Amino acid sequence: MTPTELQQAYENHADAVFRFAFRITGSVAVAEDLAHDCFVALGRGSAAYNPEKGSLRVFLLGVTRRLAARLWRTESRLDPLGEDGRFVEPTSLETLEIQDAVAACVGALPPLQREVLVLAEYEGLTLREIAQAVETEVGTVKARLHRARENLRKTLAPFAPARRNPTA
Amino acid sequence: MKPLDDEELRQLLAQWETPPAPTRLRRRVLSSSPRRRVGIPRYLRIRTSVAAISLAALLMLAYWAGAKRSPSPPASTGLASFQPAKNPNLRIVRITENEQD
Repeated sequence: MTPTELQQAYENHADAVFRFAFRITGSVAVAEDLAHDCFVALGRGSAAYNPEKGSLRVFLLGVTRRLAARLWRTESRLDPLGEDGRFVEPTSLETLEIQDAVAACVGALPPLQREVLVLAEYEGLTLREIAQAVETEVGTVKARLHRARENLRKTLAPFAPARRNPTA
Repeated sequence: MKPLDDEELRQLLAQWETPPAPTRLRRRVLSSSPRRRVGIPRYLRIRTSVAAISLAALLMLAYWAGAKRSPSPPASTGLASFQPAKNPNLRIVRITENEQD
């Protein structure tokens, strides 16, 4: 990839890559490093993009996801990325603002559920595109997405505007 | 508490905004010069690497086999260092005619 092509890819997709990295890691610093590594891999050719296999955006989100997964595996060797990772509800949600509560609840999802939820809800990818990005079957994506939404329906229930301020 | 419905969940999720990408990210990405490998396709790079490693292994094997097989050469094979005996202590033995018969 030429420097011009890399710059073009950066201008078009850096925001999406950073957003995705931030939402699955919860850290600006880590998201910045992941986005950096993603584009550097693209520029150096170590992440080979094939236009016939899908859009560049989906490809870059997939690369970012792989980098994040590698990070998770490195940092939590005793806590492997299971298919049905346990969902630990965040504590003391009552004191949080809605935005922080949403971030905390999404961040508390098991990684495999979190990534498909973020790709679907925030990046607007189709099931097929998500399956391509996370390198799995569409059926598996559907199942993970369903479980993620079920978890969030319960934990975020107290924050629904109509329920939070019934008098309003 | 009753779980959220789809619309409520969507509305809540939409409230989570992300900070913008740090401005230094652009500089970091675009200043890290990509290592261009101009004109050498990936498959050829792999084949070249495999060939180089195989050649090195063959050379090492040949060297090892040769060193094991060939005996150590004599110290000197020429006459340049030839020295006549200093005290030959010669004894001449004559043969008489009777002994010859």
